[in-house]
Amino acid sequence: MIASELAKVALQNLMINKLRSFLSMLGIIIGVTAVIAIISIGQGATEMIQETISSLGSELITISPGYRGGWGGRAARTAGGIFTLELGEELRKKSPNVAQLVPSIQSGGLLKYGENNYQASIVATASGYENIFNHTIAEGRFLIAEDVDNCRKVVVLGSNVARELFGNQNPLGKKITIQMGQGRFIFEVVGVLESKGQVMFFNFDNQVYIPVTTMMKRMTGSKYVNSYSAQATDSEEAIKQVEFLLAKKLEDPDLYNVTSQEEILETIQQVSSTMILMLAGIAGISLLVGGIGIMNIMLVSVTERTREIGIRKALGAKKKDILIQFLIEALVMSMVGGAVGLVLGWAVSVLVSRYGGWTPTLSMFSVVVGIGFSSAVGLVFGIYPAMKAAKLNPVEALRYE
Amino acid sequence: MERCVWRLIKKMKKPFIQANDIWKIYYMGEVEVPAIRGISLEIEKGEFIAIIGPSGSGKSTLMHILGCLDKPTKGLFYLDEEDILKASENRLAAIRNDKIGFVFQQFNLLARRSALENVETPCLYAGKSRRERIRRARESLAKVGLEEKRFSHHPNQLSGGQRQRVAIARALINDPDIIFADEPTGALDTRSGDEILEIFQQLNKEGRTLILVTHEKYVAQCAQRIIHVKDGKIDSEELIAQ
Repeated sequence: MIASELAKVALQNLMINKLRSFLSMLGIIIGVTAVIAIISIGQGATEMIQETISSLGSELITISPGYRGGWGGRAARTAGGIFTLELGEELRKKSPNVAQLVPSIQSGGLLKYGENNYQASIVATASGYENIFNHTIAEGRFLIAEDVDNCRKVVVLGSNVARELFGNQNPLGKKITIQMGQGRFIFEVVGVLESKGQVMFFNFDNQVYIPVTTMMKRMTGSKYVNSYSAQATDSEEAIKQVEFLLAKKLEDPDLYNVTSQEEILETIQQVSSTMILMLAGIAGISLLVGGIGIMNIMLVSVTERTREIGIRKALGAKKKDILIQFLIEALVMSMVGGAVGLVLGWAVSVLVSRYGGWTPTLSMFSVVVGIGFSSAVGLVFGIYPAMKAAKLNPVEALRYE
Repeated sequence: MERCVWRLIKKMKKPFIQANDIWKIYYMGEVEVPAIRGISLEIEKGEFIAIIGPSGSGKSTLMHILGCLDKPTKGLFYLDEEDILKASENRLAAIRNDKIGFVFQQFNLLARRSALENVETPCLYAGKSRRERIRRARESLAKVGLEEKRFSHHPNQLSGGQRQRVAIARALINDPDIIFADEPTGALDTRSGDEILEIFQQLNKEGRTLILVTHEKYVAQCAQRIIHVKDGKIDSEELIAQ
C-alpha cells in the first residue's frame, strides 16, 4: 500500500548522503564484481580449454604404461618393457570399436641442418597418427605404411621446427641430421605439419615424427614402445575391449592405463568448476564484508535519526512502517550495489577475455547469484538495524538529542 | 423506563478522556521513580485545557500518556471509550494517527522534507492516496495561514512561527478529535507566540479539543480550564471566565 511511498522516502534519504551511501555500497559493488568476473572468466576459460582439447580429436584413447609403486628401496617408475608392436597390432584387430591404433615412442634429440640446429621432441610413430590427432599437412606428406615397413629414415617436421631449421627455404627433400645420444642419423624431410599451437602443456609444433620401426631397429635397438594412441568409434566400448584384452595378455592391471579424451575433459571440467567455486567463494567473503558495512551504516543511521523515528511514531507510524522504511533503505543500497557490480563484473570479464582470447560468457547463473546474493545480504544485514528502529519507544525517541 | 433514559444519558455523557488514578513509574535499576502519582481527570470534547506546572512536575509525562504515546503503569484510562491500557502498540499508533494531533516546542518537523511533505506524513500512515494527501495538506496549510510560496520550503528556510504553523497544519491534517501542544510558544518570540495562540483559540472556537502544556501563566490564560500539576499530582484546578 504505502511501500512505494516508503521506497521513495528511502531513496531520498540515500540521495541526501550520497558519498556515505556510495561508500557503504562499495563493499557490495566489489564483492559482486569479483563474483561475476570470476564466474564468467572461469567459464570462458574452461570452454576454451575444452575446445582445444576436443580439437585433438574426439574419441581419442591413450594406452600408457602404469606406475610401478616404489617399495622398500625401489623408486616408483613407469612400467616399461610391456608394449610391443605386435601387442598394438593385436589390440587393433581384436577390438571392434578401435578404428585406428598407432604405437609411439617419445624421445628428444638435436636436429641439425647446415648451420642451424634445434632441440626437438621426437615422436616415433606410424601412419594414422595424423588422423588420430587431427593434424593437417602443410607440405609434402605424413608417414606412410611403407616408411614403417621398410624402416625408412624419413621425418615429418612440426611447423616451428621447420621454421627454425630452414627459415624460408623449402624443407622437402632436404637431409637433416638427428643427434640422439651417441648416434647421428641422417633423415630426409618428407612433410611439414600445419601449426596447431599450444595445447595444455604440449606444443605439437615443436615435434618431429619418424617411423617407429626406424627408431627401434636403427637407433635405439629397443623392442618396446612407450604407448599407443587409438581412435575409437565408441570410446566407452573401445576402452572396455582394450582393457579386457590387456588384462588377458598382461594379467597385472597396474601395468597399464587406458584413458579416453572424454575422461580427461571430464576431469578438467571438474577441476575447473571446483576452482571457480572456490574463487567465487573467496569473492563471496567480500560480499559478506560489504553486508557488514551496510549494517554498520544502517545502525549509525538509526541512531542519527532516532528523533525522526520518534516524530514518525508520534504521527501514527506503526512498527511495520518504520521497519519497512529502514529495510528498504538497506535493500536499495545492496541492490544498487549489486547492479553496479554486475555491470562492472561483466566489463572486467569482457576485458580479460579479450586478452585471453576467448568469448566471455555471462550466464543466467552468475546474474542470479550476483543480484540474489546482494539483496539477500541487504535483507540479512538490514533487518537488525530496521528492527532496532521499529522497536524504539516513541517518548524516548522524541527526547533524543 | 426512567432508568433506561437515565442510562442512555449517562452513556452519551461519557467524557472523551477519562483517567482514573493513573500512575507512571520509571525504574532506575532497583529504585522506583514515580513521575505521575495518581492523577484522575476527565476531559470533554470541545474543551480547551491548559496543564501548567514547574519543570519536573510530570506535566509532559501526563501529556504523553493522555496522547497515547506512552501507557500508564497502572490506573484506568479511557480515550473515546477505549481502554488504552489494554490496547496494543499498533492500536496506539492507529489512535495517534486518527484521533490525536501533536504540536511540540521544538516543532519536530522532518528536516529533509518540505513543508507540504511534512504536513502530508500522518496522511501517509493513514494510507491515503497521494492526491488526497496533497489536497488535504494544502488545505491544512492554508488554514494555519502559511503563504503558498512557502509550501515547498524546508524547515530550515522557515522562521520559528512559520515552522510552528506547519506543525499545527500537520497535527490537523487527519482531522483529529484532540490536539496536544507541548510548550508550543516556548521556542518563539512573543509576537509569533501570540499568533500561534490565536490559531489555537480559533481552532477551539471551531469545536476542537485542545490540551496545552506550559509553564507560563499567561499562555495558560488562553484556556478555559487550568490544571496545576505539582510533584506528579493535580495540585488545583481553576476555571477561566471568558
